[in-house]
Amino acid sequence: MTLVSHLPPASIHPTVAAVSGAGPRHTGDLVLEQEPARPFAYVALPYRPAGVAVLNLSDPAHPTRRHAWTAGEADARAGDVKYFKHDGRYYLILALQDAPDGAVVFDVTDLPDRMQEVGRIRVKEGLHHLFAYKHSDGRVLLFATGGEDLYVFDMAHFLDGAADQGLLHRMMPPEQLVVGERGFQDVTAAYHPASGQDRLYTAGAGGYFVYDVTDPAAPALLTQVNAAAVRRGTAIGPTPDGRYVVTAAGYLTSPLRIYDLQPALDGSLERVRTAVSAWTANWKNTARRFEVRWPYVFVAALDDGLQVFNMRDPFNPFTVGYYRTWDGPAGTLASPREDGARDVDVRNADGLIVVSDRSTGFWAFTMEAFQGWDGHGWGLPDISSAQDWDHGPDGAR
Amino acid sequence: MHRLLLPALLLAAFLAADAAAQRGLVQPPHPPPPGEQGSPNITVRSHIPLGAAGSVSDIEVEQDLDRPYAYVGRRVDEIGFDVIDLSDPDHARVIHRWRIENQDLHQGGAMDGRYFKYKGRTYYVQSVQLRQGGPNADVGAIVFDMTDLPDRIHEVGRIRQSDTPGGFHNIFMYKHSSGAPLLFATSGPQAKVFDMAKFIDGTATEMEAVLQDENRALVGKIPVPQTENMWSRGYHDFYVAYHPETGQDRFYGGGGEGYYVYNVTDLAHPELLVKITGVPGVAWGHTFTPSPDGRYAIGETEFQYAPLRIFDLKPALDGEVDNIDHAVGAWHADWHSLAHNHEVRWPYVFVAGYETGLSVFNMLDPTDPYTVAYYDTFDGVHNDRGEAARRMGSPYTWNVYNGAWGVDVRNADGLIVTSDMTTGFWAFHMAGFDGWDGVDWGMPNVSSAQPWDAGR
Repeated sequence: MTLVSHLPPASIHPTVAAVSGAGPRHTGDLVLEQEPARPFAYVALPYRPAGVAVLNLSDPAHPTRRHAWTAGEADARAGDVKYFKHDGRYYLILALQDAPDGAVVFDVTDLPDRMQEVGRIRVKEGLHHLFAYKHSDGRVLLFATGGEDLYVFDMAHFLDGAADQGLLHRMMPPEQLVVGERGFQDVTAAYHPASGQDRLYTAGAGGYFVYDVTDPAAPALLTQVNAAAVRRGTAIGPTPDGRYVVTAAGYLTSPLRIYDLQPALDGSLERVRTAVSAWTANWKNTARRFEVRWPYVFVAALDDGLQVFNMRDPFNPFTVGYYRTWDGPAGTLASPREDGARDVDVRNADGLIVVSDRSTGFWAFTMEAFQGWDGHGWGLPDISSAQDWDHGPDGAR
Repeated sequence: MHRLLLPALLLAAFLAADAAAQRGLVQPPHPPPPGEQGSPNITVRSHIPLGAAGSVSDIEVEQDLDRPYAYVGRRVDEIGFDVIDLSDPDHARVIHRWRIENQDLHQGGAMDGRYFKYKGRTYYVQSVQLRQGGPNADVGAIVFDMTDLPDRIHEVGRIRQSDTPGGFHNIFMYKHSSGAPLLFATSGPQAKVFDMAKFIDGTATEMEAVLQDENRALVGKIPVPQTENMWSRGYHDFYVAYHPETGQDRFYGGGGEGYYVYNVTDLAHPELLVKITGVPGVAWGHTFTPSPDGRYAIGETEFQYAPLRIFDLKPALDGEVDNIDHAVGAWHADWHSLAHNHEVRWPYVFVAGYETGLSVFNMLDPTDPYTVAYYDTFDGVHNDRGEAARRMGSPYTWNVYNGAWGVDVRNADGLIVTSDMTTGFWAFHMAGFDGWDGVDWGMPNVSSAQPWDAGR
């Protein structure tokens, strides 16, 4: 791994120095725009005050904070951050909790000069995690989790000022599998060329769920993963062909588990219960989020920083790269804490890897021989979290 | 020469730095290099392959040095148990192989085994699980008089529970503070408690076994607290220990949705003391063993990738919380695998770790346990998906359940015995561990070894 740049929290958060110095947990989720001509990364500022910072990566070795927006509510917390493109303009969405609104939407087309708030998604319970998806029918959808529910918004309708905010659907997990655990956690979506379906992958109470959202107003459950050791799934990401999913459970000592969905999708199993394998950087710790760029999986591994593993053989994943972004004390079962790498993103055009570390700020890396990603180069659909906003998903266009 | 030396020195420096970062020993990946199956402080005293792969279950060693016998359960192809003579621990040998009659008609196997003493005689209880497709599905355990070893053994009787067929998966023999030799057994949605004095005395009558009341020795039932997320309705395993500080007999059960501690001083009125549920990664409890003072307990979950977790029971025992929902420490021999049964001899915990074989960790600091010894008893393929596909038609990770099943420790001299499902019987010595008495460690002298000849 080659370190390209690092910005400490005080260089990202507009008030962090005034609040408590370069203290812990001042940087949250992040997203990186995919077009090299728009070299911007957005980093959520979790709280005190909650907001989002815009980093300019024109010179990746010398990123700068270009803008920052903070919520007026002192108790508000910022969740996930995602961007999308619609009708030639670029928009940023910041999820909020403990605030009057669930998310704030900005027009960021005119960066680096300015960003402008264009609306708020009103969800009383607040929103936690987001995924902006270019549907095979051409619409831009926002999948968002908040409270116990998962929401589906048509963002064109939202931007048009629809009275219903463009809300297409609202749902809870299909059944209450684990008492005491409720609702959804993280969400992602991907087109599945083999079936022609748009698929939604969610984590939450009871494990992990896969829906057919070809009709986003009527999601149909395709299968679920309910493993005995996972009361609550926290993150999920499919491989480009949709056969395997990488999952996180979020508790100390839990590895990232890899499940084969094929038997369940084929109908030979009602639901998946057993992982085909697992990966961890350190079994005492756990991982937060990850990005699948087959055969690589880029992991924000909290205390273990950025980690990259290879899952070409899903039965035997192995580590191929790492960088310790957090050098402070690790959390333990006796003294749990959540420091270190919280989120990660990858720019497919050139392979730039960015990490948000809760305590040490923003990091950018390159990995040797990883100079970009296109699924076709690996014999798979060109499908990842990165959306082709202009043409729609690979295989559907 | 120098071209070879420099890389070697660099490697040594790297390993030293790595070792410094990792407390305790690190068990090598499987298969270990030749000659490195064990840590330098573990010595193999004896090894006896017992039979076909997968035909070995749990193990029990008698505690008296003048009764040098170990018992190994057998299953699948050979249903019964083997008696190992340890008169010379360096040359252990099988002296009896008891097998159930009409083996071919039976389906299942012998599982856990425990011995006890009563009225000067020594008995061995072999739990069995025999499926209803064959005979004896109502038999939970078979009791033998072993007093006359090494010459002979003879069956005393069978504990039947026709209301909960399928046998006893696990059992525990406990000398209660009342003096009664009690057998705790998994049976249906509870643990059943049998007074073995009543069983032995009742069996000695001339009444035919089939006419005797099968519940004549049943003196208690320990319930599983009902919660909404119960993964199983009953117990999988348990342990019973005296708690000197309170004068209570305490039952430590794994099952249901987690782990539970009951005061079983009055068997007619078991009192729930501690509940451990809602722990991330723990959908149910498997094996649950306390430290000698009853403050900490080790919980096993039987899921691949799950470590042994250490729980601090004090907040619940003190009434500060009504449920414990997190562990304070965890230990793994190899995170790809999972551990199975274990024996606590504070500060050491002896672990039968399935594919990782025998391991020993130190839990002097329960929040930071670390490996102090190991021996890889299992020489098969780890996580053998080919075998899983053959056995269950699944290529997934079902086949991690092979290797070291049971472990026991003889307190008098520190002899460690292990039963490996595939490779059979093993006896070990750990350097510096020449016996165990809790008092030497500032703890009550409480372990699974029972004071059959003395009072509490």
